[in-house]
Amino acid sequence: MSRFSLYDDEAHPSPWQHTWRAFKSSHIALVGLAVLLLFVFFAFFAPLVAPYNPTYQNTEALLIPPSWAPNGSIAHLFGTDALGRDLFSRILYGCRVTFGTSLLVVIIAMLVGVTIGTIAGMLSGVRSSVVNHLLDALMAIPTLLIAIIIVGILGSGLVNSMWAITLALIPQFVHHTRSFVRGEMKKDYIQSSTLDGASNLQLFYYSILPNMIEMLVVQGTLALSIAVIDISALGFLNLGAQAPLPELGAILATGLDAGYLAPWNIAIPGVSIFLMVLSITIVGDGLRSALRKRVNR
Amino acid sequence: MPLLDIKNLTLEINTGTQVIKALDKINLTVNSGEIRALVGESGSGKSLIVQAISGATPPNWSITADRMSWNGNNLLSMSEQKRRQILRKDIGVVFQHAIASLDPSVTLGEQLEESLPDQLIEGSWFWQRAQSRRKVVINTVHKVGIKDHEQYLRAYPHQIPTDIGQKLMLAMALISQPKMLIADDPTRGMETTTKVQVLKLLSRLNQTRSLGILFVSHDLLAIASMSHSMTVLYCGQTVESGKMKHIRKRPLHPYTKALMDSAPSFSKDLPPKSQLPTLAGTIPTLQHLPIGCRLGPRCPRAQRACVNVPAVRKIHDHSYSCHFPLHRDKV
Amino acid sequence: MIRILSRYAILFSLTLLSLCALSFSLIYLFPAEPVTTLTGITPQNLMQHEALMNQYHLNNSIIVQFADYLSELFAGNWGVSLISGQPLSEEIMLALPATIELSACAMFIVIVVGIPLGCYSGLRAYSTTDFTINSISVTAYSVPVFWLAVLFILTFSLQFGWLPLSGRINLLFDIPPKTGFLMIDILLADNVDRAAAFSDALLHLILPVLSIACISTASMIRITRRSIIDVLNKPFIIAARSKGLSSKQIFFRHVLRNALLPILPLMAMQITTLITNAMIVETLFSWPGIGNWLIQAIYQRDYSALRMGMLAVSTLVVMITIAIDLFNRLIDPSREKYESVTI
Repeated sequence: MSRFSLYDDEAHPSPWQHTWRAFKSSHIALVGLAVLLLFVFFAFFAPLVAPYNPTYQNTEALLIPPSWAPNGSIAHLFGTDALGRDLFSRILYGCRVTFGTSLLVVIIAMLVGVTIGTIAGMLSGVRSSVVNHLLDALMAIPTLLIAIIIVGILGSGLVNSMWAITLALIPQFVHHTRSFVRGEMKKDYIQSSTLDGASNLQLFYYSILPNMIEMLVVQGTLALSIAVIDISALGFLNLGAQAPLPELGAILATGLDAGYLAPWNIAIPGVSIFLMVLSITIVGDGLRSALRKRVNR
Repeated sequence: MPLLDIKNLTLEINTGTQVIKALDKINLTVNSGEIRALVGESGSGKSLIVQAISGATPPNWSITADRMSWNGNNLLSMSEQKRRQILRKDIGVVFQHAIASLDPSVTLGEQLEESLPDQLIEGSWFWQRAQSRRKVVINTVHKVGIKDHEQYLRAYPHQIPTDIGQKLMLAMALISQPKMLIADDPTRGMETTTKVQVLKLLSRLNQTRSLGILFVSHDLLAIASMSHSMTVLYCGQTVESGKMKHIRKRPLHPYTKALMDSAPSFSKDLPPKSQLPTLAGTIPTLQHLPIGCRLGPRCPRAQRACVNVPAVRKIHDHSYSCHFPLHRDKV
Repeated sequence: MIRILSRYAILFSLTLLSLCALSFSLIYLFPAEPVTTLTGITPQNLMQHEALMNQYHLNNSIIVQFADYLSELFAGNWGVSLISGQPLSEEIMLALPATIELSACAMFIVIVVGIPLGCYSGLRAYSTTDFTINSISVTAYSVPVFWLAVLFILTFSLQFGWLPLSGRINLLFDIPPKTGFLMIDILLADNVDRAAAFSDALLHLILPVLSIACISTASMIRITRRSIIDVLNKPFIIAARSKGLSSKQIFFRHVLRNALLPILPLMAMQITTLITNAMIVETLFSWPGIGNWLIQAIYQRDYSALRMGMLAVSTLVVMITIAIDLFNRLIDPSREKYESVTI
């Protein structure tokens, strides 16, 4: 047998591969990612998976317990609510509504917030510091208050609650983008690009944006978990999604009426919201640790 | 008895994927009243030695040594508390980046007073002690060459210029009247005037108080003037060690010779516009350490035997580890 | 020092001014007659309408209207509620202290439990204890606050019957509301059995405060833990260890100060979330606070109440935020570390 010497080739993974590898090393983060992907799947494909129409009221099947209870049947996996609607389909469509609108809200808030923040960060001066302080102070207004005002002006409904939460999330993005851009503008590589003749737009697109993506991802997951909780809270208070639109908070609210007799109407929507936020938080934490490990190694 | 005696110190870092031998059988001694220079390029592991002595090691490091003792007491086997006491009273450490080594939320005066051990303060009532504490601090600050103590003692670390910071770090190390000072590149990046001041201060302290100094640096010009003995470190291995005048006159290891040649003050007359002599190549990274003598790939006198780590040999207090030292022919 | 204080005073007045401008604009934005939103009185006929318009200068230019609005605000003439007809100042002054009491108790628990647990967890980073505490806090952080409150009600009130379900105190106790803060009012009332009233009020406090505090404590634990881990890796801690200081000295004198200072700006965000959660929880527990009041107002479309309520709550929150910011500025020697603190 001849001895051959294999020289291990030095593999230099790209930054994203590095991050993914560090992310993969935490098993909990992977489980969280799996659950999150499940919710994304529901968000897109709920109509294909749900057995019943979520608004279809079957008056013969009122308050049937879930399938694992003694009186339950497999026809209704999670049971039915007080109006005879299948809870499983309602939850699937509810995930779609809650998660989908949260995603949309975060994307819009990110786009608007990053734009404003970059402009504020790149232009400097006394003016901007006053505006900064004002923005920071206004960032403190509670989400619920903004939602109440917007509902008062525009009326209740899912779209209006989306506007409210977008408005509430924008200051966060503005603040973080602005401080990040301010910090980067002082660095030498930006100065060298400026001396090369780059305009502000080119500076942003080629130099700052690639470095900002990590911060944006981290902030985005944080904002997503806040958005999910806020949208379901508004739905719960009947300020957001109106019946019969299935939204997890609204399902929880309607379930409260028959809560003592049929606790699954309260437990199951709550557990879905909880799992959604938990998976987002775990994935966000995993991403943050992976990014930190990549920088520190 | 030497103050600090280290023999065959090995430091292994466990990075999770592999175990790297960052320091390989280091030998080092510092006697009382002696200034020993520890010379090596950046990346040779000088700061690691300082960290290993002071004991501030992260958990994935493992230190083994045949002998690592302070004044006869074994540093590796003593209890945490005793080691801390020694660090507090007898050894002073000056780090590289002064501002980063200072607590940013506490004034400098407070940090100086904190380093003062209780034995050196007189007075029994606490205001007397506070007063004498302050007096000792002001004295030490004056001694390192800072005249305007009021302004600096009240300032925070981010408000002072770097060289004042370095002097204050020196004051903090000296305030407990240690027997030995470990200076990890204290004059890095300083202007020549300040550098000369600091070095003069150190040599004065060494003469008057017989303070032993372990001076870690790669600035040959600075240490050539004041150190009594020198240890040359290359990539985690001690290659040569001995009295300064011997090494200057007759370096035995090829690396030492290359170092001496590369500093303009050491070499003899060079013809104008001639190339300065250096060794080809760069210092290897920790992940790709060569086996045997680590200078092997770069050394102009390397032969097959250099695949094994050379043993330490001594000629009258001048020790070297090379298979083909300069006083013998190449073959 | 004076410069900092005056700067913050200007900031505060500017923010208040913009909040007043916002609430003023609501008069025109809400889908009702501006007169109605401003005063709370629905004019019955045209003459009354004209009279009201003249009285409140609604025919003049915007600047005059705004100036008038500001003067009315400071005079305490806030209008009446559309639905109940009561003067708004009374209703708000009764409701706001209830919410403040709830939030203050929750904040107290958050600080007293959250910060030590976070420090403990951060000092033993990546060990089993730390892992357990971190897992529990991630779980508690993800629970929606209204669901937690409902679960608490179902188990502790209905199932076990240990704790009361709604309100601030048992209806049999008649405590005249002097300050609005129930604890103080109990101490000020004279014809009541104080100890019994106190314990009853405490029992009523437990469930709402717990629902709010669980989530905010989890968040505080995470923030503190991260801050302590960041500080422990800094070079000056290694330098301090080389100086020979003991672990306890290092912790209390150096680590704690440097870890807690960056957390302060995040506390402002925490307080905002805390107040939002308090407002939601109030509806479930029928706690007569400003959150409950505002939500009832929006259900009944009580526009004048909404306008004033929004101004009151946002003023409170902005006051707290600016106070924390000022405090931070005064005690933190180095402002550079302000910008980025993560969870």
